[in-house]
Amino acid sequence: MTRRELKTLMKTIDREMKRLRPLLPEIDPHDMHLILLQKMRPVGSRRFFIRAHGDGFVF
Amino acid sequence: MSFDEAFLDALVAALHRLKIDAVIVGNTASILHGAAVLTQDVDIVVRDTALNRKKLMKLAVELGGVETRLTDPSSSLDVRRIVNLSVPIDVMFNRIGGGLRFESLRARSVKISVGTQRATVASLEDVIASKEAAGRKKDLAVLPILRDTLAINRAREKREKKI
Repeated sequence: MTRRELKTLMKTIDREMKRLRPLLPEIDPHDMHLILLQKMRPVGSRRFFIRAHGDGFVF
Repeated sequence: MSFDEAFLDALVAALHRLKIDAVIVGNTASILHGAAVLTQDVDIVVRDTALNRKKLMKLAVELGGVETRLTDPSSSLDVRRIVNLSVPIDVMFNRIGGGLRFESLRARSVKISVGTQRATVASLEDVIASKEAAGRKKDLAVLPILRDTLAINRAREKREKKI
């Protein structure tokens, strides 16, 4: 994602947070932010897999 | 396209080419629904037919993998695993945990764009039901975040319907 796209995404998430927090007070705000960040970003920029790589793992 | 998206794109394209009607389940489905989790494999469920079993061998070859039987003593499910890939693919036949059958999963599934493809993805409600039924520690560990994701998805859908 470009810097501009990322800024727009963060603004959109902030707006969604303000709207959703009163509706879902039982959800931890940090968890909500994490979920919205994952949900609202394009599928292509989401992380799906932990893969074995050499002696360790990579995302 | 990221590695992860390219991998899923290639899988879904191969499923379409081979005319395998498959539903993506498990945590890959959760992530496609927006859950902030990670996984080590892709789980799919297909109808149990002789033709589908043949096609799965072709799928393994097309993707450059090898089909093996997955032995899981804690499960009565017949699971085939395609290995020798960057990410293993587990294939279940007819049903998954929670008594969820292919037809029901298919009927409630949604289409989600992945790369150049449209993937058939189990509903988040069904993924949660299957993880509750599986009851393993690794399944129970992700349930809170999946339930929160579902609550957020429902709240957002409700608003979209109002608009």
